[in-house]
Formats: sequence, C-alpha cells, structure tokens
Amino acid sequence: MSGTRVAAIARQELRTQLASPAFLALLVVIAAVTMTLNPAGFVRGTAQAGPHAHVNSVYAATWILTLSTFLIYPFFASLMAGMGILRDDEERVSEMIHATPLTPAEYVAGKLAGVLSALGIAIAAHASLVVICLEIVPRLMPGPAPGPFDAWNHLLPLLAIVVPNVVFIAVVAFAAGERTRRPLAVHAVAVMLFLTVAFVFWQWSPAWLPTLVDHLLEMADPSALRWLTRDLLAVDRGAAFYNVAPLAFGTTFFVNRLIVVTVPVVLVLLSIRHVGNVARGRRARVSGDGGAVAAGSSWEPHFEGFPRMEQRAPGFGSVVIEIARREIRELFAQPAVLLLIPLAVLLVVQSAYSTGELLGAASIPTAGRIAVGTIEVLTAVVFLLLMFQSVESLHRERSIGLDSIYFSLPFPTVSFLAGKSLAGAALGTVILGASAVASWTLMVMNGAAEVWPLALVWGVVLAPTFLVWIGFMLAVAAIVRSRSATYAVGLTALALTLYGQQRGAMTWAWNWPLWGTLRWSDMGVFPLDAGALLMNRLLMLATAVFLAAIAVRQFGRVEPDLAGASGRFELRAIPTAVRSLGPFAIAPVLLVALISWQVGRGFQGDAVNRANRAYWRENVATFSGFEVPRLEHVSATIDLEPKHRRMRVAGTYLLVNRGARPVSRLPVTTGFSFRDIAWRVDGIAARAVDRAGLHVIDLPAPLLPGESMRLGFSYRAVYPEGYSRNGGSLHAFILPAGALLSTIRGEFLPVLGFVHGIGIDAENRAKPASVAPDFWKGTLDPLDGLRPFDARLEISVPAAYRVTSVGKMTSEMTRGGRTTSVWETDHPVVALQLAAGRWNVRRDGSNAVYFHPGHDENAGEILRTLSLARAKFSEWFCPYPWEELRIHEVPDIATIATSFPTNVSLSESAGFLLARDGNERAPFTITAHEVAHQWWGNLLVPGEGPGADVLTESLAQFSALLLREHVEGRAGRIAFLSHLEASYQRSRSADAERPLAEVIDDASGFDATVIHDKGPWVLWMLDHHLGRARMLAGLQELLRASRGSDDHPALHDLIAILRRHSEYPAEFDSLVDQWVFDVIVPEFRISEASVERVNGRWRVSAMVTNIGGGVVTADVALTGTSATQATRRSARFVPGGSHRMEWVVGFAPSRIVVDPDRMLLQLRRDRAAAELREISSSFEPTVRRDGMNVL
Amino acid sequence: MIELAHLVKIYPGGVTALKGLDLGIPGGMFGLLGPNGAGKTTLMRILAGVLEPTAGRIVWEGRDVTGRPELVWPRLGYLPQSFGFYPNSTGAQMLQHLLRLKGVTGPRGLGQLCSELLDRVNLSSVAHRPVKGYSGGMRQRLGIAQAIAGNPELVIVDEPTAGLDPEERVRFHQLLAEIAERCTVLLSTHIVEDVALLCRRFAVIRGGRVVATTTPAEARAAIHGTIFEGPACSDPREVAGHGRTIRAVFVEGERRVRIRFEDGVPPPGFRPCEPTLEDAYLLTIQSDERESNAPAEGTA
Repeated sequence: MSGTRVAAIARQELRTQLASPAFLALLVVIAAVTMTLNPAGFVRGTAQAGPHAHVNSVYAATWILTLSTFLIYPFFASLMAGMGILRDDEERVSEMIHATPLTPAEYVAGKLAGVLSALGIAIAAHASLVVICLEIVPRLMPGPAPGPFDAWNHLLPLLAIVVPNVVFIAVVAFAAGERTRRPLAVHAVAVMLFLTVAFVFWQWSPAWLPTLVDHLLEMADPSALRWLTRDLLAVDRGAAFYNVAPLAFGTTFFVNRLIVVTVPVVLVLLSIRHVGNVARGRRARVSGDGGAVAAGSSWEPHFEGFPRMEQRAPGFGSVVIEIARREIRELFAQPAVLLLIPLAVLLVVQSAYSTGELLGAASIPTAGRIAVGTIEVLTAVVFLLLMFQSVESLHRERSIGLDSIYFSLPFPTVSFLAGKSLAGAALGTVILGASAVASWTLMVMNGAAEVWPLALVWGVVLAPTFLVWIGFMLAVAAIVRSRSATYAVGLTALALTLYGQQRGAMTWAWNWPLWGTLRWSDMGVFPLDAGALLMNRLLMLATAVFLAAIAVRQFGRVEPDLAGASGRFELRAIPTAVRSLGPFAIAPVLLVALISWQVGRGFQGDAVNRANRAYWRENVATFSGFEVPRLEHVSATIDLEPKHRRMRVAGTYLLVNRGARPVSRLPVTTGFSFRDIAWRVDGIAARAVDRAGLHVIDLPAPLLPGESMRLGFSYRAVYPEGYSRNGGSLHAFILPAGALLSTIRGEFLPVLGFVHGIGIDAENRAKPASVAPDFWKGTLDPLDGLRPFDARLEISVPAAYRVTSVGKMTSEMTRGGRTTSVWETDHPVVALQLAAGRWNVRRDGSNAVYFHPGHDENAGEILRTLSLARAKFSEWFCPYPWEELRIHEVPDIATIATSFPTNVSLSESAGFLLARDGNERAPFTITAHEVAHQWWGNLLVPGEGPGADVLTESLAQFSALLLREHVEGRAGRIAFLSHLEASYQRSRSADAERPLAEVIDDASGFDATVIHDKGPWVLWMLDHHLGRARMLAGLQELLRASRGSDDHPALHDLIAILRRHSEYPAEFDSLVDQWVFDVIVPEFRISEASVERVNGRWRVSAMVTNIGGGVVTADVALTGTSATQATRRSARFVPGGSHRMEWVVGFAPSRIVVDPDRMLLQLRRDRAAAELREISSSFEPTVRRDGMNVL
Repeated sequence: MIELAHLVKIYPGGVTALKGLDLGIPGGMFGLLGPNGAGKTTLMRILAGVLEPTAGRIVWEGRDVTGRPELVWPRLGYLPQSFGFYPNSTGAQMLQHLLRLKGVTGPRGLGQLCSELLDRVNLSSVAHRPVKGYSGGMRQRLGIAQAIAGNPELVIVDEPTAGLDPEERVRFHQLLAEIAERCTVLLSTHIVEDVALLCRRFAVIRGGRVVATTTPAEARAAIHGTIFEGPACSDPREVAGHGRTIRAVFVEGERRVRIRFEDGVPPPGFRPCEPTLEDAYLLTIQSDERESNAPAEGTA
C-alpha cells in the first residue's frame, strides 16, 4: 500500500468534505445541540442543602457526549461518508481513478481517511464545545460551581463512546454506499440506525422482555445509550456520587464496544474486496467492448422519411403519472427501500403494542389506539424516507446527466414536481399500508379488527402532514439547490419541531406533524379536538399548496443567471415573488390567525391563564383562610347538552355557621366559563362583587354562629370553550362523547371560599408550610376542606345518554327526548360528581359497571373486582356505608381514575382498555385501588399537612396489594411489589426524595413515587412486622377515630395507632424511623461465591454486602433446580456491612438470592442474586471456584 | 429565422462566455464553428432554454423568446454535448418516457412510434437492453432519436460526432442532413469537416463573439489561389517570408506546411493547392487572434 497515494485520495476527500454544506451544517447542529442539552439532566432532582451535581463530572460529560452523538451524527456522518464513492461515480472520475496504479485498498483507505478526518475535525469541535460549556461557561456565570477540571472526564467518553460510534456510523454508511452505489441506501443506513436506537435500543424494555434479550440489545446498541440509561444510570445515585465516582464499565459494555469496533473493520475489508471487483470489471469493459451491447455496427440511416408523428402539449396528468411511474419503478428496485419498509412496519407494531402503558400493562391494541399511538414513530419513518426520496429524486436527472435533455422538454414544471411527489406519496402509502396490514393482522389475532380508524388517522388525518412535508422539502430543494444543504435544512426543521414539542411551544397553529397531540377514544372520534384538528388539517393543506407554489417558482429547471441575480433580487424579484406567491399565503395566514385565536380563548389558553392569575392575585391576601359557613346540603338541577358542550345549573346550598364569629360576607368561587350568574340569599336576589372569579356576596344580615341560610345560584356554561392548546388532556368536560364534572374545582357547582391552587404557577408557587413536629396532635382541618354533606341532584340529559352520580338514583323519567334522573345521598359525602355517557350497564347486586358498548373486554373483570373489593374492604376496614357502588367509563381525553363516593371514574386506558394478560393484572389492580379510595379518601379524609397523601394513595395501593394477595397468593403479591419497586427505582431522586412523613403530592416532582410506590411497600413491611390481624385492627381503629370527628388524622396518627398494636415496639420504631421518617434504601451485592462438594454434599459460601443504606434484616436464600430445594439464612445488615453466608446442602445449588419473598424494598434487585448453574453442570468434588458469579 | 442580439453570459466568478454576441440563424443546417472555450455550448444551452443569459435578446420568427423558454421547448429537439440516461432503463423505455414528456404520439401509438424511431437509428435490436450497456455511438443515436421526435422546428445538436468513429460520423452526417431538410438544425462543432460537409451557412465564434458568418464556398473562394503547400523546414517563418503559415500537415508521413501568400508568389519548393474550409477557418481564427488584444475568456 502506498502512503502517498492514500494521502492523495485522503487530501482530496478531506477538501471536498470541508467545503460541503453538510459539514458546515454539522458544525451548526453540533453547536445547537451541545448548548441545548442539560449536562446534569441525568440527575433526578437536587437536594435543597446537599451538593449540586457538577456539570463537568465524568458522568455529565458521558451523558452529554453520548446523547449528542446519537442526535447529531447518524445523518451527517452517513451523508458525508456514504456519498464519497457515489460522488466519484456521479462526477465520472471513478474509471480514471481506477485506471491508475491505485489499489482498491488504497482507494478505500484514502476515502475513509479523508471523511474520518473531516469527522475528526467535527468531533474535535464538538468536544471543545462540550469543554467550554462544562468547564468555562459555568465558571463565568452565576450559579453552582463546577468541580475541579479533569481532562480525563472528557477524554474517556470521547475515546470510549464518541469516536467508536461515529466511526461505526461512517463506515457502515460508506460500506452501504460502496456496495449499492445508490444514495438511498446510504440514507437508509442513517434512518435505520437512528430509528432503531431511538425506538428500540435506547429505552424499549417491556416488562415481558427476557433478561437475556435485554443484555443482547445492550451489547448490540451502536449508541451505548442503553448501557448508559438502563445500566449505568438506572438508579439515581445522587450528586455526591456522580461528582466523584468513576464510570462503572461492565462486561456488557466491553462486549458492546468490541462489536462497535469490529463491525467497521469487517465492513472495510468487504468494501476493499468489492471495490476491487468493480474496478476490475470496469477495466475489462474499458479494454474490451466492456460488455456493451453490440448493435448497429453497420447501420445505415433509412431514407424513407421520418415516421409520422405529432406533438401536442403534454397534459398535466399524463406527465405526472409518467414521472411518478418511473420514480416508483426506480424506488422499489432498491433493496435499501425494500429493507426499510419491514423495519418501519416492525417499529410501528412495536410502538403500537407499547402505547398507553399503565402499571406495566399496555393498552388493548384497538385500531384507533394503534393509529393514534404510533403517529410519532410512523411520521418519523415516513418523514425521513420522504426527505431522502424527494431530494434524491429531484437530483436524479442531474446526477446522471439527463437534465439538459429532460428540462428542455415541454412539460410544465409543476407536473414534474407533482410526479416526483407522487412517487414519494406512493412510498409513504406503501409503508402506511404495510403497517396497517400488519396491525390489522395482529388485531385479528387478538379477536377484533376495525379498519376505519387506521384509514381515518393514517390516511385522512396524516395526509396533509405528509403533503406539507413534501412541499417543504421541494421548496427547500428548489431554493437552496444543494443536496446536502437541503438535507441539513430538512433535518434542522425536524429537530426544531421536536425541540418545540419538548419545550411545550407547539399549538394547533404550528403542530404540523401532530406529535403528541391526538388522543383516541372509542367513545367518540377526537371528542375534544375534532374542530381544532379539522382547522389544523386545512391549514396544512393550504401550507402545502403555498410551499408547492414556492417550489414551482424557484425550481431550477433553467439554470439561473447568478451574475445578474443580486441586483434583480433586491429591486425586482421580491415584489414579483410577493405578487406571485402572495395569494397562496393568504389562506395559511388566515387559518393560523383563526386557530391561534381559538387556542387563546380555550381552556389552556392565555385568557384562562390570565384569569387564573388574576383570581389568585386579587384574592389570596384577603380570602385565603377566610372562614365560611359549613355546607350541609346541596340541592341542584343540572341540564346537560353534550352536543353543544353546554349546561344550565340552578341550585341551593344550605349553609350553617359552625364558627365562633358572625359571617357578614360570603366568598364563592365559580368556574371561569360560568355566564349569567345570579345569586339569592334565603330566596331573595343578592348582589355579588366579582373579584376575578371569586364572587363576594354581602349578606343582608350577618350569619350568627349556629344560624343557617340558603344560598341560591343559577348560571349557564360552556365547557370547555375554544380549542385546547396542543391536544391537551382534560379531567372535566361536557362533550358529545360524554360528560364528567365534579365539585373539587367548581366545575359544575360553586365552591365556598377561596380555592388554593388556582392561578399558581412556577413564579408564585410557595413552598409547603413548615409544620411543628407535633402538628398532628392538635385538631387538623380536612384536606382540601372536604367535609361531609348531603345532596340531591336532578340531572337532565338527552335520552341517548345515561347518567351516574353520587348517592343513589331515586327516580328517572324520560320526556320530550330528555331523561331526568334524581340522585340522593344515603350517607354524607365529601364531594359530588356526575357523569354521562352512552353506556351499557352490567350489575352485580348494588354494584354496577357502566361501559362503552364497543369494548366490553374488561367490564366483567372490573365488575368482579369491584364486588370482591367492596366485600373484602368492608370486612377488613369497616362496613361500606352507602348502598350502591358504580364504576363508569369516561373517554380517554385524559388517563384518569378517580373515586368519588359511590361513583368511580375510569378512563378507557386506565382500566377498560388495559391488557389483562401478564403479571400485572392492571384492570384488577386499578379497580381495587379506586374502590379502596371509598375508604381512604372518602370515608377517611386526612388532615391538612405533610404525609396526608399516604393515608389516601398509599393506603389505597396497599389495599389493592392485599386484595391481589388474597386472590393470587404469594405470586400476586410479589408481582405487584416488584412492579412498585421497579417504578420507585426508575423515578426516585437520591437527593430530592423526602421521607414519607413529609411528602405532599405535587409539591415536588419526586413525591409521587414515594406516595404511590414506596408508601405501599412500607405499609407492607409494617404489615409483615405486625402481622395481618394487628395491621387491620390498627387501620380499623384509625377509621373509627376519624369518622365523624372534626380532627382529621395525619400519618403520625396511623403510626401511633399501629405502634400500640405492635408486639415489638422497639423494632417497630426502628422500622418507621428509617422508612417513614427518614430516607433509606438498601442495595445488595453478592461476591466471592464458591461451591465445594464434600462427601456427597455441597458447601456453598458467599459474601453478601449492603452497599445501600439502612439497618435492615434480610433473608438470603440458596435454591436448587427444583422448587423444593431451597434454604435460607437471615442476617442484619448495616450500611456497607457484609455477611459471609454459608450453607451445606444435599441438593445441587443453582442460585443465591437476597430477599426472595419481597420483604424488603431495595434497589437493583436484579444484582442481588447470583446464578450458580454452570457449576452444577461440570462438577468436580473438592475443587473450589471463586468469584464465579459477580454480576 | 432566429436572431440573437447582444447576447451576454457571465458565469459566477466573472468568466464571460458570451460578449454581446449577434447572430442570425436561417433555416436548414447552420453550423457553429469555434475552438474549445469559444462559447458554443453556452450559446446552445441558452437557445435550448436551459440556461439563462445575463443580457441580450433572442427573437424567433419575430417573437421575443428571451426568458420565456416555455415558448421554445414545444418546438425544440435538443441533443446536448454530454448527457446520460437512466442506466437501468432499456432504450425503448427511455425513449417512450421522453416522448411522453414531450407529448409526442404516432398514428399507431407511442410504442409503435418508438419502434420506428429506434429502427430509424438502427437500435431496434437492442431496444430492450439496459442503456448502461450501450456504446457511445448507440447513446448518441438514442439521443438523436429523442431529439427529432415530434417534428421539431429547431434541432440543436452540440458536438454530436465528438468521440465517434469515422463510420459512425458519416452515418450521423446523413441523418442530420435529412433532418435539416425539414427544419432548422443548429450544429455546434469544432470539427471543420462536419461543417464543410453539412452546412450551407455557418458562423465562426471565438471568445464569445461571432468572428465571421459565411458559407463554406465563400470561405474557400476568399482564399482561392493564395494557398501553397511545401516541405517543412526548421523555421517556417523564414520559409513563409511575407506569407502566413496556416498549419503543419503530414502527408504520407512527411511533414509539410500549408502557407498563404496573398500576392500569389510562393517560395521555392511550394506548389499551389486547393484551399479547404479548414484553411479558411484557421486563417479567420488567427486573424482574429492577432486583432484581439484581450486574451480569450470564454469557456464552454
């Protein structure tokens, strides 16, 4: 190999790469991505008083470099490397090059050296920018200081991840381009790499995925993101750890890197061989007749005259079809395209079966849910393919030298562009069609199959998106007239769209790909956003036409005269362009304005936000804590008109002054959509001052302590008004698909007093009130002011709807196309709710399930669970006081599960459409949880203060756990606890987690997992300590003490009661001190495992270490190959403490596992086990084997 | 009649390919002769409507078509200097595709018309073979087949015989001559013999300007009796005396020179000979080169 020749090729390639628009675009994207990513983004939360995460730690550098490498390089490195040899072919220099003494190896080496040098410059710029962002900028800016500079922090990820990854991408693309000599194959590599990493390698890990497959995916991941997120950063270790700890590489990582390095080497060798074959073939053709067909060597022109023919202006349609036909033939003759189609289908199917996961269970894949749930992956695939197809298609005639002939033919330019676009549309249609067929087949296998939702969403709804994208790419290509610059603009547009989506900047006026926007409901087609969707689609169609007009006007069919362009551009081109394109811009501009106006007045719009802030600003100082009379009885008439989103309400509150002071004015909060509000006090019209939504009524005479009054009210409302911002979710609504309203935030009835929470955002959110350690010993007001009252609601709906509300229905009458039902409480309630829908009903005595007739898969399971849960909870906690208990289904406008007295709401994806298979039994668990809230939240309302949510959410989850154990035994309990543990591990913040006794839901981003995941685990550990009977006795005592009392309980009350029931108070104290009043999580590792065979028995030894926190007692089990072969030992572990565990057993040992019965919440349970299987298969007595199971 | 007035083309970077070119192109075969870089291809591409001129006017039969290529394309057949086809298409598929885009049909359908056209250029036997296997001459024939389809009023052929063997050139000449009976054919070439054989009139273009417009006969007549040929010596200028050396030629391996003596008296050893069009062309170019102080800037 001649170094001179390699250097010559490399120099030329490097010069070409550095001068290409793609390289410039790469540098711009590197700058944009690097400066946008948060280097400390992998740390979940920061402690208020603890160390801050250093943005220049090796973890931060690894995180930002690995993530940015994945985001930046797949397309740019592929484009730069993959087109190298193709460019030589297009410029017709390949044959000349291969007619020199240059060998194939020198050519490939030179080409790769050139492009890798260019990429090396880009990587150097990338790394320099990262160093500036992580080391220099933080030192110049106010804020937490970075850690001490350590070059190795940056060099390590650079050398271990960035360089191998980029080389891998470049060489794979290079090999694809060299092998196929087709640009689309190069782009296919980029698309496949990007999509498989984004949708499979990075995060995809359903609960059912075998561990082996998980490891194989980690080994095969060319981005190393799976290792980073699912291994290295699977558990949050906190800033103190990340600031100083070295990166922990494991065997899987090394295997992964080996693959990433080996594959390019193999591909380079294959490329050299193939280049040699091609070059030899070319030389043979050049020297001989080259395989050129020999024809007409002795031809003579005929002189009988020209054939008769005529020429007409070619028709638009015929030209479009002709060009499209040729493009399609060209397109589908390419193996890369044929490979991409099944890949796209696989990604869509994978995405379809992962949507709507709740409690680890995916939604039942109905057609509509598949259609909407896969929009992101489907559009990503189609966008990328359309972009590459469009650009390569437009470039094709030029690249083969046909342009001069082609563009002097008399067809209209618009038909040329339309034909090319039609071919792209055909490609998109094939992908959509194949995905539809695959989805439909899987649906049929699941027993149900509808096609129309797929056709509606993927066809009608997405068609304008694809058209606007094609139009955009055509317009960009026509304007910039450079292949790589067009790609750069297209990729930037996609990146900006994603960025806007992630930052919440999208609205219906701008969300052209409909990412994260649509919500499917079987109960109505886009029930919340049908109007907004229609206008958005019209906007996209109009925009597509506008972009197409730009493309037609700017398309370079005639090579423009650039020498004279600048002068004409300023003086003549702009007015001409405006005149010619202006009419096409009118419709998009008007539609954007119209949609923006509707969004602005919608329930998520600026108008509502302003009104909410005004409510808080005007009233918080005066009316926060203002004592109002108690609500004793509600009587109201509600007329719903779902078709028009309207309601009319008239009613009366019976109020009693239970305070010690007279009440002379009465503040009442109304919904912001309430109109024509009228008030009456004891039957006489009363005036109220509207203070930004808080109506303050001056009472004719002060309401003295113990006196009562009747507050009458009437109004009408439209709910919701306008459009959502970007397809948002809504927990209360009146829509044709159904209605759901409650009194929690005054959605259909006024709320007495000032409502905390309205108008609160990041700017005015206050820290939770600091309370004294013994705050719970005084009298606590109920959480959210929820005090019991009685109610009578008369609800009128169109006859097609059914209604369910709080209490029991005492009468129902249908007249004049409307059904009026009366609902009365048979036991006091703390809140009201009403729901309406077109349901079927299944009953079991006084229990009932109201469900959508189109999907009854889970109705039976939910009803059975409802009845069982009601019966068992009544037995375990206290008798259920109301006569009826109903669960109703609500459209999936939001994923909600709420429990009001006698009335539970489950949205489609929160129960009725959750898959029942697998270990999760999600419908059962959710139903049990919500039924448990009848006790924990409705019968028992906790007092205001920290830890209150443990008495509602944690206890409801714990109740569901007990019910699963009751039904499924140990296996069901273990499955549910495993799910909770995994969820806690995924979501917890090592630095920001607060003790259970201090959590307040929503006050911190990390309290939710403590309440919903850790809470039930801790209650289970208390249950285990106390014994079931004592635990239930304690819970019963808590309920007895709180019901009817003005003092509402805190978590501390529960702890105090349970302590009294404990046989071992000291041990109980140790348990709650650590798990309730402190934050500890143990984590175990097994090392030094060994097996000896002595006299026909096996002696097993292993060191078990608690590398986590807490002083805990844990079982360590040794198991054999059968279920009966097991033995265990128990030990008390201190933080960092180890115990050598030893067994002598008569069975062949196969596994050591810590805490086999799920008695102890811990992190990385997967690493608290050691497999001994390989030992047993090659046993040699008395031979000791050490360290064989360190995972 | 096509009239070009003050046509200017300046490429980015300041390279001026056409410097105010004025030319009238009559019906029949019209030759455009010039050295490499004279601006011939630029002029062809501007006339074909695929390149925008910087300035100037193009008037075709009294109608200004400058900047309105859509008026030219329906009446045009164009065979550029270098071109390619879809490599995996067969000749028949390629021709049908281009004819559909051209709006050309035959009385017995497009397929039959393509067959006849391919037969006309003797590609019938390879009509269903991929174009990537065609030789250079076969590609040129396929190119001319698409150019003549639809009875165009103007056929532009840019260096059509470059790279062809002598036989193929002759056949092309015959074909072009036949086409020229029906329409205007603008033949751009630097091969003087092509013009001599085919064109009734031609223009010599150099440095982006028209140096001369004439007929082959007139060009030859203008130098009749002044051309002499004799053996070459070490210093041709010494031999030439007051005459002008046109060029060195080889006759049966012997190096000889052709010299013009305007007074008709040759030096010893030189004999009078019949002037060729190539003599006239070279004299024109040399004459223009001497007169022009500016270096040639054009490119094609």
